[in-house]
Amino acid sequence: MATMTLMAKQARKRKAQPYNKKQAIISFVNSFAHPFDMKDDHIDLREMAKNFNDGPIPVEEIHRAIVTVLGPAYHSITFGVDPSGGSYLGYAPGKRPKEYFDYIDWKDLYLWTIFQRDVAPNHVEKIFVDFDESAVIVPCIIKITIEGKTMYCVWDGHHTIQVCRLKGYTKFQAWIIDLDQFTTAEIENAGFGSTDDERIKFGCYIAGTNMRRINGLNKRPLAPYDDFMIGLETRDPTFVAMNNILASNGCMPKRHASCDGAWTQIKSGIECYDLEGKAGPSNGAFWSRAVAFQRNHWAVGHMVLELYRPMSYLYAWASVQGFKLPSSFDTELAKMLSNRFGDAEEVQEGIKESFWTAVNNNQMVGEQPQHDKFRVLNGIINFYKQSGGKVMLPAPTCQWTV
Amino acid sequence: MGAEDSKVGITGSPAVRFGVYQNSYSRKSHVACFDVVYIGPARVIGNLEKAVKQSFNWDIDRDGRGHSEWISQTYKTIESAVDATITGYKFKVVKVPKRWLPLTEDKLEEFFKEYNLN
Repeated sequence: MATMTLMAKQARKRKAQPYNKKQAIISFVNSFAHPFDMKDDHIDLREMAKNFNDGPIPVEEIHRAIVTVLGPAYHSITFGVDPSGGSYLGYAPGKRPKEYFDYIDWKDLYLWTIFQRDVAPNHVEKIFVDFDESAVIVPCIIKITIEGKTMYCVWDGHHTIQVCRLKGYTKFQAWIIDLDQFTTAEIENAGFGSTDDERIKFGCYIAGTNMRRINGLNKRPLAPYDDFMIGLETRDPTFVAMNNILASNGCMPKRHASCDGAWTQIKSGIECYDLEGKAGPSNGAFWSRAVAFQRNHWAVGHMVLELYRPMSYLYAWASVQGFKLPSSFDTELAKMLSNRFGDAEEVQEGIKESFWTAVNNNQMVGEQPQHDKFRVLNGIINFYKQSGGKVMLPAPTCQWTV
Repeated sequence: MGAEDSKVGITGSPAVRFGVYQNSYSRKSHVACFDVVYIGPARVIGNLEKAVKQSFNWDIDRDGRGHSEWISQTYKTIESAVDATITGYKFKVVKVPKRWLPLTEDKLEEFFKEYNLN
């Protein structure tokens, strides 16, 4: 008996298309009547606003644009974080001040480009990666009523709000200016008219002025020194290790080179601390030796950047290239340098001067270094050899008579 | 001239500096002079001055025009502090020997010849 079996041909599973950022952006922008730029470092919100009659854009629309740029890793978000804990901030009727704190629903939040900057998806991602809910700064918002509809327009902290959204927030803490509570007299005193339209213009003026005050005029960036000291006080392991290295050499971090042992070039110090050798990260070994190099041979003075940095690189190069630099080398080199130049600052000044003299007289051979640290480093190697030093050093990348 | 305070500073033109110091007083009452002198390349001397002023910061009573550089210490005290600074930093400068001191305008020409200064 013959049997015939019919097997249904299985429908071919459609392969999920891999994410293609350009295609995703094109597809997103095409869903709007008016096109706008979307890139990692900015979404052109002013052009995007043309799709909303140049008025406030719901932040949900901006959120959709951001996750389109950031990619699939940000596409599924679980909601459920309510920072208010369900609390209700009640104000007695008629007693709520013009400026007050409250929690706002996502759907009521807007961004008006009149007083806000473009959004940067890569900045949102940067904050997202480093997010900690105890570090959310309260965004600032102006409450505006347009044609009977209440809109909470962010004028500071929009990136924070977008990150909180990615973290699943459903309500958003906010410091609010209530435009509706300004009297007509107050608005007129500020040079605006008495119509509803003028009230809105006044609201934009307040928000825009404050936005510029906070983010431009009165913004004080965190100085590297303050960053280091706060990191040190709060036990950042790298900064603690660096401080230990400094202390063991009689040095200390300072804002200005105003005393013996002052170390001021924070970022460059971190660069030296992070240098890698043949076995990988040095954990400050090269920098530590370089700091000691100066302190052991020039007893007094502030730390000289273009002495400890080139020396850190010299130790790192030597390690990578398998050279052994005995401690006697440090003593020998320091003696040569101080005999020739004197103080530590003059060592680097003198080497740089000889470099530029050689360049100007076409007496330098090799590729011209683009940074002082490599000019001095090459100068030190050349000088050591020209002074009769016998320890094997990494080859200089350029040569001249120091 | 009263107090034992001293003035610390650098110059590329000692004759002009003497003139400034002599300007307000007749030579019969006071002759402008340098009690201690160090010579060196301009950049090194500049860095030495910075280091010295840094170490004497709070002993410099008043800053600004008309007040600058006066230190409430005798020159003997300052001299040993400057010497210690030079040793600690390894500044490459030359300390002028006692036979030239106090250096006055009268000795400048000979002094310049001795040290090949212009």
